[in-house]
Amino acid sequence: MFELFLMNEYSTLILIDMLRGVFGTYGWGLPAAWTGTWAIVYLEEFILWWFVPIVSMLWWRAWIKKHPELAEEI
Amino acid sequence: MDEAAFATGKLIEGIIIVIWIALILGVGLWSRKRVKASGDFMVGGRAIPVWMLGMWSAGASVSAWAFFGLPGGIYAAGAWQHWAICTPMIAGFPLTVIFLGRWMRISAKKYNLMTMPDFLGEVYGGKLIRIFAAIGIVIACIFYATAQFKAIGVLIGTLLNIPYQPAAALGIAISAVYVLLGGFIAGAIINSLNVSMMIIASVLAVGLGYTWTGGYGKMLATISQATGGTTWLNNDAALGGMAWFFWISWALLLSSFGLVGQPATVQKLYGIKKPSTLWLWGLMGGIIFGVTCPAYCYLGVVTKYLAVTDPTVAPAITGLGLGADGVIAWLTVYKLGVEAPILGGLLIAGVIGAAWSTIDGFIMMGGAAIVRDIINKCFRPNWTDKQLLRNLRIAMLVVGIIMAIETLFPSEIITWLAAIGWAQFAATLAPALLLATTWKGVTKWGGAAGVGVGMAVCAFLTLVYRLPPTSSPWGLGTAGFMKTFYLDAGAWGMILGFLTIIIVSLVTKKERGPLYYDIHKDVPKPQ
Repeated sequence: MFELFLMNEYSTLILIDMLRGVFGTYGWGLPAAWTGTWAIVYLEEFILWWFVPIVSMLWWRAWIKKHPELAEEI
Repeated sequence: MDEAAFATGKLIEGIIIVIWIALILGVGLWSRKRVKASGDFMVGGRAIPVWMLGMWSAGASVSAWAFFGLPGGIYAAGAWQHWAICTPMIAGFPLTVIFLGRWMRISAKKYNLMTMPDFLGEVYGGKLIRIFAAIGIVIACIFYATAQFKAIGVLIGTLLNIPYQPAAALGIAISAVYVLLGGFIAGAIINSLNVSMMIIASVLAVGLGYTWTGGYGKMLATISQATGGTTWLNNDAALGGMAWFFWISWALLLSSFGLVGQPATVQKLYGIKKPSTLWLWGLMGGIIFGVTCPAYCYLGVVTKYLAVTDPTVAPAITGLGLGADGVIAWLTVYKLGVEAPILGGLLIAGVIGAAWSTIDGFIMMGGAAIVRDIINKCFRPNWTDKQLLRNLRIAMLVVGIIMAIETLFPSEIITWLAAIGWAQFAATLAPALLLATTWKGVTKWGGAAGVGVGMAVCAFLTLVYRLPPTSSPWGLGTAGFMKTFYLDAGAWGMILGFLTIIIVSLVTKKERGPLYYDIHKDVPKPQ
């Protein structure tokens, strides 16, 4: 039931099903079974959900901390 | 179907929804006492905690469109809409912070900024840019709010078993009371509650979907097999072979960078208490959107799975007489109503709340575009705050009435109504907003021409060709439009808007508004 904690995200769902297919008898298996579209979708999901908001906003936070004057009212 | 269980389920869902409506109206009444000036009404006195605004912005982007429209569209035409429209919007939040958010917020007090045309007017200067932007906003507001109203009408109609039009009228009446009572403060508080509920309910709903279908892979494989191949799943074949062009239009332009031009989402940045906390808005917006919107898309796929494995499902959905818009109405009222009515009630209540606060935002924005951005700022600058607030309420009523008429006689299914509104905002505002902070070369006439071209191209292509043949004599519908024009109407508006700003700016006099010289400090201010 571990999936329940993460399954709200397509990329995670696909990853879990993929791993279930690799390590067990039931699941989607490796991306070889997918069409090219699905591989791109998987990549898009993973990057956009896991990396873009988190990495870019933590970078912005560090940047504005270094330049506090840029966050002052003009 | 077990009729007794269905009746009990509907009753439980109804009770949860009524309690939620009462709570929302209560908060609206409470906040009315706190709304004194037009600034309070529109930007909450610029003192709202960032986490509250992050939740509100995400909720405004998700709203009833994602819950009703996307799963319906996905059920009917394929999962490609999920990654073409939904997922790229996650990136829109951080992109807004990086390119625009800081400047919007730190210049808000000095220039008394409350709307998007305010920002454009102060950067580019001149009245024309405000007028073009305001016209685009009014058109977009009508379509986007209609999508929300229609979702509420569909839901109320299914729950109470009454036809669409009276159900939509009932939804409009309750929404009108809420909007006139509250405003920005009510929206921020209510939406924090709504969005919390939406997150919990969507996680639970996906969990339940998982148990119904037995896993993502099995679900996709079953649908693929039943639909005779990959058309339903694949960008290459979906939308009559034009889904990749649709993906380009939305993923690369309208959903991602286009979010910068969504006033319902971005205008809230004016209300943030501390400008240095903007990153949290971007992070929360992206993550909350990324949790809820894909979950709703997932429900569309789950319903498709149920339809291909249970022969009674598809006729039941068709039987509602709502087309693709009936998918979530069936899932929440008929399926969840029997199997998990509390979850169904929570899902519906959260989304109705989000739809209301979105409608609230759009009626306010449409009213503000006419009264504040065009009349007050361009022609009647001497209005007192009291006059402005009174006229704002009158204009909101006018915009609300137009939205109500379009809701009673909708020109499209929910997903495309919302997409048309979103694209109109993006085409009108995003190019000028993005270039305002990133390119020194912009000029007053470049900005005005770019906003005018973006607005006019998108509105013309949409109203004449993109609507279905039932709404326009030249209407082609979405697939027909894509086959004829390759990119979506809003994408053409955005591209031509960008090009117009650049070309006109290069050949016109270097006149700009005062905020331009605050943003581009190294450009000397003309004496």
